[in-house]
Amino acid sequence: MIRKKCNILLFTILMLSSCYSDDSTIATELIPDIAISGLSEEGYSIISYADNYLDITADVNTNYPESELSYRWYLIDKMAEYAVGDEEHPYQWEAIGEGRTLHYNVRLAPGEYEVVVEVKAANDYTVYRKAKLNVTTPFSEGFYILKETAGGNTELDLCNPATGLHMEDCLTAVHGQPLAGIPEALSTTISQGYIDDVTNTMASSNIVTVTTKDREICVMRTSDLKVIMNNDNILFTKFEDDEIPYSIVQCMWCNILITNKGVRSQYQSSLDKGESGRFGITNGIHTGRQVAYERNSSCIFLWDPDTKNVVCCDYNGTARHGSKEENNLSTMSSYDCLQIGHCNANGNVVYVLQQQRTGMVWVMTITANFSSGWQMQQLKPIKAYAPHVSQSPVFSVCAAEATLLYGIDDNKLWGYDFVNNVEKELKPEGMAEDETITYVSDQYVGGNSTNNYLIIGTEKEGHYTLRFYKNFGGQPDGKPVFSMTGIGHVRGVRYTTNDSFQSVEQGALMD
Amino acid sequence: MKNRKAICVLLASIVFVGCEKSLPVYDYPHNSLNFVVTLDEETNEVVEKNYSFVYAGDAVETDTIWVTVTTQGFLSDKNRPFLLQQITAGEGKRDALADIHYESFDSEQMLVHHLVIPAGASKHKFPIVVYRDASLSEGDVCLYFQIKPNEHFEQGLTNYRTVKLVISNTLKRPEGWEEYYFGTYGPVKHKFMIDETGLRWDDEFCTSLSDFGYIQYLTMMLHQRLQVVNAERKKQGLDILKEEDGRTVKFDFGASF
Repeated sequence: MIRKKCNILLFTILMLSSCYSDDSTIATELIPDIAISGLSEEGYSIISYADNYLDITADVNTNYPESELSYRWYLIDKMAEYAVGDEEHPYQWEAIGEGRTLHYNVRLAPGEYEVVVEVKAANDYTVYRKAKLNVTTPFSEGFYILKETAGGNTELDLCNPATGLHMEDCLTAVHGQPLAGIPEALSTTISQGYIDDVTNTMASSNIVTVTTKDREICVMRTSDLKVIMNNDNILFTKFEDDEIPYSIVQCMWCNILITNKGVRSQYQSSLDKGESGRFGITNGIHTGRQVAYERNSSCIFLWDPDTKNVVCCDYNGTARHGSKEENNLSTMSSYDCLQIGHCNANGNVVYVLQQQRTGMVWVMTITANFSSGWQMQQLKPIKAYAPHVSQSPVFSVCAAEATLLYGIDDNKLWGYDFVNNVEKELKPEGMAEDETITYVSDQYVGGNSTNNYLIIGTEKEGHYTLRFYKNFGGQPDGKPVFSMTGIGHVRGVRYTTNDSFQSVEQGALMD
Repeated sequence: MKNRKAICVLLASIVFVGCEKSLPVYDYPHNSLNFVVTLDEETNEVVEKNYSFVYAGDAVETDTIWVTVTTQGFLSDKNRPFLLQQITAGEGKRDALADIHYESFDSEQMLVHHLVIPAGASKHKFPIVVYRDASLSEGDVCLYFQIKPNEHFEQGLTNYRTVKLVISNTLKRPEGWEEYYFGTYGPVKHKFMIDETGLRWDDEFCTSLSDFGYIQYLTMMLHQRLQVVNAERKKQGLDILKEEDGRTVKFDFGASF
C-alpha cells in the first residue's frame, strides 16, 4: 500500500515539477581599483550669480600612485535633454575643472544639474562618480532697483534684506551688458505666462519688467533673469509705430500691459498650466505711465493724457473713462498727471496733477468701492498749504500710515497732509549733509508683510544710497532697517517675491 | 503512521512548489487599421468632420482632407497596401459620389501612392481629394468610409473603423465652437470671422484654441472690426451685419474688455 502511495506521490511530483530555468549569471563586475569618495551623498545646493563657488575635493583610495592619476570635472545640465533629444547622449557634459579639487564659480541658470568627477589612471582605466547639484538664483526675491548708468543706459541692482544680498548690475551679470537707452519704468508681477523656448511649452513665472525711453520692453523671469518677452513677441500683433510701452502691473487676477495706447490684460497663469503670455489689443482708451491699485474696487487707476481723463481698469482688465454723470468728475482738460497713488489710511486714490496754464500742482482725491464704482471727492491746488511739496520734482503717496503726499524741496523731505492741509518737514536719520535727496517712495506690499518700507534715496558723486525705513505714522521711524549703495541714478524700486501669490501693492505701482 | 506523515509533508511541499513558466511571446497574427477620429463624449460614436469649400476660397475647385490611420499588430519591413470602401451615411443623408465629389479610392493615384503603410511605420496620413461639384449647391454630401479588408489589414476597433466626412459649399458650426467666447453660431458671423482674421475657423482650428489670451485677443479684434464694418455699412445705407434669420451679429465677450 505504501509503495503504491509512493508511486502516486512520485508521479505527482513529476507532474507538478516546475519548469523553472535559472537565468542568472555569474557576477562579472570587478570591484574597481579606484574608489572615489568626498562627494556629498545628498548633493549640493548653491545660489548662482552670487560669486558662490562649488568647492569639492575628491578623495581616492587606490593602488595607483597619485602621479599616475588625472582628474577632470564635468557638469551635466539635465534640462539639456530637451535640446539634445538624443537617447544615446541625452545630457551634455561640460568640462568645468581639472585636478583633485574643484573650485567652480557657479553662474548657471536655476535647475537640476549633476557634477561628475572623472579619475583616470595612466593605463586609461577610468572611474566616475557624480553628485546632484541644485542651482537657484538670487533674482527671485528682493527689491529691484532700476537705475540709469553713467553711460545713459538701463541697469538693475538687487538687494534682499532677508538674505543680506546686495547685487549690482544684474543685467550685465546675466546678459553681458545693460539695456540700451535711458530707463523708463520698472515693474514686478507674478504668474505671467510665456512660451519656454527650450522646452517649447507654455510656462509661467514671476517677472520683472524694464522699459526704456527708446521704447524697448524687456520682460525677464525672476528665476534667472532670462528674457522671456520683448517688443518682438509680447503681442499677438505688433506695437504701433508711436507706441510707448511702460510696464506690466498686477490687478487682482489680471496682469496688465500698459502703453501710451492703452491697457491690454490677461489673466494670471497657473504655474502648472502656463499660457502663451502674449497680449492682445487695447480697447482704444489711451493711458499714461502713472498707475495705482485701489483695493476696495480691485481696480487700477490711470490717466489718459490725450483726453485728460481718469481711466479706471477693473479686475477683468476692462478700461473705462470717467464722466461727470457717473463719477462726479470735473473737467480735466487743462491738467497733466504727475503721479497717482493710493492711500490706505483713508482709502483715497490720489492724483497729483499739474495745471498746464499756471504750472501749479493740484491734488485730486477719489474714493471707490466694489459695488458702486468710484467718485471724485476733491480737486484743489496745494501751493497755499504745501509750498514745499508743490515744488517737488518727485511725488509719492503714503500708502498706509497717514494721509500724506511726500515730496522733496531744498534737499529736504516734506510731507503734505492732503486731508488736513498741513505740511511738515520729515527728518530721516542717517543721512549725511552732503548727500542730495533724489528719491522717495512709500512701498506697501501688504499688511502683514515685513517688506513695507518708506524708501528714501540720495546721491553723491555718481553714487546712490537707498535707505529703507519702517513707516510709522507717515514718518521714517528711527534709523533705516537696511540700506543699499551703488553707482548710478535711481529711477525706480520694486519688490518681487518668490511666491506665486502676492497681494497687490497699494500706493503707486510705478515710480 | 510515520510514512503517512511523511507523505502529507511531501504532498504539502508539492502543492507549494512554484511553477514558473516562460511567458508566451506576443504572437497575435492579425493586422488591422484604426482611424484617428474624434468620438462623441456621450455616445462614444465617431463625430462627423465637416469640410467646406468656403474655407478654401472661391478659386479652389479641388482640395485635400488628410486622414490618419494607425496600425494594430506587428510592424512590417515591407510596404503594405490597404483599401478603402465607402459605406452609406444612412437615411436622409446624401452620399458623396466617387469621382464627382471625391477622388475614387480605386484610382491608381490613391492605390499606388497614398493607400500604403510604409515599411516600419505604425502611423500613416493619406489624402482624401474632394471636388467642388455644382451639385453641392443642392446640399451637403456625406462621405463615410471604412477599411476594406485585404491580405494585409482588417478593420480595426469598432469605434475607430469609420471616418465620417461631410463635404459642403456652405459653412457649418465647427467642432470646438465655444458659445461663451464666440456667442451664438451663425454662418454670416462665421464668414465674417474668416474674412477678418484670415484664419480658417474650421474644426481643427477651433478645437486647437486653448490659450485664453489668444481667444481674448481674437474676440476683441472681431468686436472692434465689427464696429468699423457696421459703421461703413450704415454710411452705405445698409443694415448692420445680421444673419439670414435676422439675428444681429455680435461679439459680446470681446466687447466686455
